[in-house]
Formats: sequence, structure tokens, C-alpha cells
Amino acid sequence: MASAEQVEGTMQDADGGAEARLIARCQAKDASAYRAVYDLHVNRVFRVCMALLGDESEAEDATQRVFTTAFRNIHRFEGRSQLSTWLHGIAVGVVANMRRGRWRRARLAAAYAVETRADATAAPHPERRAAARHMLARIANVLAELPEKTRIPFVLYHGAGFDLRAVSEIIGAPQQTTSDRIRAARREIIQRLDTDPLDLPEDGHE
Amino acid sequence: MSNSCERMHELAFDVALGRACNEDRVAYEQHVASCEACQRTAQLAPAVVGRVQDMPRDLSPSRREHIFAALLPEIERATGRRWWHVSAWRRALLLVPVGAAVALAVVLFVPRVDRRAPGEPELSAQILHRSGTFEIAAAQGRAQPRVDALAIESGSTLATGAGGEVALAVVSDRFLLGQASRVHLARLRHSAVELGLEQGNLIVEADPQARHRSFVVRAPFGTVTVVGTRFRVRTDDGGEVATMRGRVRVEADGQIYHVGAGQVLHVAQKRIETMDDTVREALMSGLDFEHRAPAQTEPAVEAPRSSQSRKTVVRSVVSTPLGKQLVGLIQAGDCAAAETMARGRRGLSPAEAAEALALAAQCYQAARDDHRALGLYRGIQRQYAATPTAENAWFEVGRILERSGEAKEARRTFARFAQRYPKSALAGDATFRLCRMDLDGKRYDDALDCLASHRRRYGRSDRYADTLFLEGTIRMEVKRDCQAAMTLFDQALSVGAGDKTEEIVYRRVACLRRQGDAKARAAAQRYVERFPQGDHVDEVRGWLTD
Repeated sequence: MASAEQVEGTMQDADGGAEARLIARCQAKDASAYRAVYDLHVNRVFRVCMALLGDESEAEDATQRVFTTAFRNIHRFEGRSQLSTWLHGIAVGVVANMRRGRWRRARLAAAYAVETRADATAAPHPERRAAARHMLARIANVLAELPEKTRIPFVLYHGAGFDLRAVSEIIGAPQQTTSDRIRAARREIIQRLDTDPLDLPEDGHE
Repeated sequence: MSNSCERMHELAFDVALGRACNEDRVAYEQHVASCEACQRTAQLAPAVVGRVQDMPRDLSPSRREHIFAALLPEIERATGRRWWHVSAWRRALLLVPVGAAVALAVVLFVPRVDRRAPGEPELSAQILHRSGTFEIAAAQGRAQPRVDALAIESGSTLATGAGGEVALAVVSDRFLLGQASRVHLARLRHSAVELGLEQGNLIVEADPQARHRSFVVRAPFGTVTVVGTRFRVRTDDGGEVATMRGRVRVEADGQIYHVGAGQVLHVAQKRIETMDDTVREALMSGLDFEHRAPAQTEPAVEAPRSSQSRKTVVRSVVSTPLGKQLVGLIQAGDCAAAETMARGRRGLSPAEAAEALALAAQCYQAARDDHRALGLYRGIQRQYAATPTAENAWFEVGRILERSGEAKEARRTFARFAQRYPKSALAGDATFRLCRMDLDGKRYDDALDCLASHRRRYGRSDRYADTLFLEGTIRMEVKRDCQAAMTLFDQALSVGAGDKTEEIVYRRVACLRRQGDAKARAAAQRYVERFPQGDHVDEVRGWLTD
């Protein structure tokens, strides 16, 4: 059996028609093609959902909904965008629906903070650990407090590795608007972090 | 800041991402070396990018397969192929992570107690898949069942006919009701799920990750308590419990049995046996009904015991031929055809017509076409205002507008909803959304008034603890009044704050610490002991070492 990585490798090695063939197989009701689509994209979709929702079980739930919606509508996919772009467009919609949850901001901040703390504790000295923890918690809060409009393109561009064109397709906004939103997010993050001077841990070694 | 510095701030992120071209990178490095103002950005940008890139993890293999297993009915529908007919290698693929999960579930198994909180809101069971005939009896005190194409509310009773089956999900737990079976959805909460299997059989897949949630199945022969496992309960032949993954605790006739993975308990015989391969494979698929002899006759679905429970059987449009056709179209994702059918069918009562339109609207919502869903719901508001479905339509219009960013319009809709349906079960929720909109708009004083008014008007509603928590948070973070905040937090905890308990306890500790209260340390210690895996445990531990 081919692993997901092998499948992915095959997909990447092949020409741009490989994805089209995979979609064609899905549309021809080939069950194994659905599995291949899932294996290829599930981790990236999950990571984006996790980054946007900040809750692992909800991110899993969102991932399932994304693929449920995608498989239900795959016969309508016309290949005008890449499959990953289409899937992440669904993901952004699913996440937006789920974010109606009441305490998302607090939980999101907590989730960022939990992740950051794990890294922070790896720092060698107590004072540096504390500084790292402070910095990462602050970044976490700033990220969580960004407005949805700028946070989603920021996370897709910086976290999920999509280029500007793909991000603009995913969020359904013109490229210039997308670029402006990413720039606004960057500006806001730096401004907010700058208002609270931090003892940034130095790069490198002891 | 100079234009050059602004440009360098942009470049800082591109350099951190590795997306800057060589020329830009060199220019950036030269600028930063000579510009103190940009050196801080140069430190911050990689830290921010690193955080965004590093935060989410990949799915574990077992969770990945778990999600895929849940997608199989969808694939089956899309391909017209029963999923267990797929090749042996794919079945084997499922066995590996499930095997790992079995070991994990056995190690982690802890019998659960019912910790449900009285103030915790009831959830709905989401319909994942359905086939054949089934009926739903309304929750106690409700004239009609609150059911739509996608969800059944807590308190309802679901009964399948011969050949019928329904797969449902409550948060991350899933269960499948087999043919000729009846289950009462007694409690659907974040902290506890409780089902009453009155007849037939039920396969449960309780999420191993959801250790905070107890899962209980009450059957005529006894009670099955479970965490993080897959198992089946049957009421025929004196009762049977078969466990595929994890371990369940069965209490029957005063005896307690622990049924491990691969074991079957025959309750009447008080005997535990090893599961045979056929049952094992059937449970793996979650659809073991294929392996059982078909019912000889169509069993009549019993009417609920109306004299005892005041439940009323309502034959929803879902169970009519039109409803079945609609559901078929919705499952196929053909919302346009569903809408055409719902609009074009003659001879329906207003209630049925409204419900049919609502089904089509829900199809659009599931397909993320909120615009069309909104049109249908507004049509129901206008044309079928007197039907029970209109109430839901009003609420859905508000929700769609809210998530579309039409805050003003959403606000108006929820306000009118609360006026129009003051006794609706959703009125409290609508009003709470109004309060939250005040908060989102940073109208803190309005939000405080709104929350206090909500509590006066709706008393101990599902949102009672939410209002206390929200008001406490505003008092703490905006008004800097920790004393008032703690009073509100204490009230929220006393009525049961459900999944927000940890957050409230944490904020209470933070308040005490902020006030320099001597009790802060003991409170922090209690938090750490009570929530060893809590979201804020590291931070609170840090306070203890300060």
C-alpha cells in the first residue's frame, strides 16, 4: 500500500495533470481516489483548522466537516483552482461557522499559549525560560486578538505556506485586498508587541 | 518611521518566511545592522512567524483514521459503493491504528461518574447518516419535536423501523442506531451523554480524547458506562454488550462486569466470551446489521407512552415520501433540486411546506451557500409565519446575518425574534447573542446591562452561567473590579459552569493574585490539583514558583 507521503510524492513529481486525474477518478466514483485526496490534504487542512480554532478536538471536527463537504460536492469541482485551495476555502467557511462558539478568543489564546509554553520550557535557564514564556504568551495573545479578517489570511500565508494568489482565492478577496490584510496583520502584531517591551531570548547558544 | 523602515518591516516577515529574494535579504540585513528602530522588528518577526508555523501539529495516525472512518458513509454515498466492500488492504489499514487505540484505551480506561452540571446547556445530536424509516418523538414538554435534516434535540426519542438505521454524533462521540430499535436521547451535554436504549441495538464510538465527558447507555438489562471505546449494546436475547475497543463497565442485576476489547458479555447467561471474527469485523465497520438475519416483518414503531411522559409523536415531513426524497437529494448535495422539490410540491399543509423549505435551506447551509439559505428562511418568515418552523427560520436568519458580519441586521433580527417568540426555547440564546454583540462592539456598559437583564428575564436558563462568566470577565478585565468579578465567578461555579469551569477557576485565581490576596497561593494550588491538564496549568504553576 502506498503511504500518504508516497502518494504525495507521486503527485508532486507528476505533471500538473495528476491532480486533475485524481479529481476525475473521484468524479468517476473511484473510492480509492477519495482516500488519496484525504491522505494528501488532511494534515494541512487540520493544521489550518487548528491554527484558526485553537482547539484540537474542534479542529478535528472541522477537518471532518471539510472533507464531508468536499466529498459531497466534488462533482462540482471544475479545476479552476487547485484542490488544496478549494479545500481550504471550505475550511475557512467551516471554521467561520464553528467560531460562533462563545469563548473562542479565550480558548484560542490558551491554545497558543499551551503550545508556546511547551517550547518555552526547553530554554536552558530559568530567567530565559521566563522571558521566553512571557514573549510567547504575548505573541499568542496578540495573534488571538487579531480580527478574523486579517488573522485568516495571515495564518494561511505565514502558517500554511500558501502564496498570495492561493490565499486570495481561499478567502475570496482580490489579491491586493489580501495583501493589504496580511500587511495590516503584520503591522498590528508588531505595534502591539512593541507596546509591551519584552526581554526577547537571544538566538543561538549559551 | 521612514518609508525605508516600513519597507524593512514588511521584509522582516518575508525574510523570516524565507520568501525574500536574495537582493531584498541583503538590503534588509544591511538596513537592520545600521537601524536601531528596525532591530526590534527583526527580533520579533521570526518569533511571530515561528509561532504561527509551529503551533499546530499533524493529526496522529489513529485520529486520522478515526476521521476517515467517519467519512466512509459519505464516500459510500458519493461512489454508490458500500465501504466494507473495499479491498482487504484498506481494511488492514484501519486495523493498525485501531489496534494501537485498543491498547491506549485499555490503559487509559477509568470508570466515569456522571458529573453533569445542572446549568449546562443541552446539545443536539447531529444526524450523520440515515436510511430506511424512522420516527422521532418530541422532548418532554414540547408539542413538536425540534428536528431538522441535520440535528435532533436532547430529550427526543428516536425509533427506527425494519431496515432503517440512523448514525448520530454528539460533539465527537458517535453512535449508530440499528434497525427496529428505539433510543431516548436523555442527556446530551459536553460533560455527559446519556442514552436510554429501549429496544434493539446501538453501536457507540465514544471519543477516547473526550475524557472529560461521561458516556452512559441505560438498557433494560442494566447500565453500560464507558470512555474512549467502541462497543455495541443489544437488548434482545437477554441483553448483550460487545466491546471492540477499550473497555466498558456493565452493571446488571447487581453485578458489575468489565468487558474488554474483543469480548462479549451475554447478560442473561452472566457469561463473557471472546468475540468471534464475524462480530469483530462487523463492529469494526460499525454496521454489523448486515450480518444479522433480516426482520421477518416490519415491526410497528411503538407510540411513545404519552400518558406517562407527555411525549407526542409528530409525523414530520421527514418521514413522508416527499421528506425521503428531499433527504435523498440533500444527502447527494443537490440543494437546488431539493429547493425546487420543496417549492413545487402541492397539497402540503403550511407546516409541512415550511419544513420542506427549511430542509432545503439547511442543505444550502451545509454547502456553505448562506445566501440561498437566507432567501429560503426569509421566505418561511414571510409566507409561513404561523408555523412552528418560522421560529427556527427567524433564528437562523439572525445566525446567518451574524456570521456574515451583518451585525446591525443580525442585531435587529435577534431583537425582533426575542419580542416575537418570548417563550421560545431559543429566546434566551437570541438575547444572549445581543449581549455578546454589545461586547464585540466594545459597548461594555451596554453589555453589562444586557447580561444583568438576561438573568432577570430568563433566570436560570442554559445561558445563566455564561452571562455570569461574561459579566465577570468584563468586570475583571475592563472595569478592573476583581471583587465584583469574583462574586460573579463564584455564582457561575455554584450553578455549574460546564466546559468553562476551568477558565473561571483560573480567572478567579488570577483575580486573587492581582489583588495580592493571601489566599491566591492556596487557590492556585487547588487549580493545579484540580486541572492537572488544564489550559493554564503551566502559567499557574509559574505563579506558585514566583
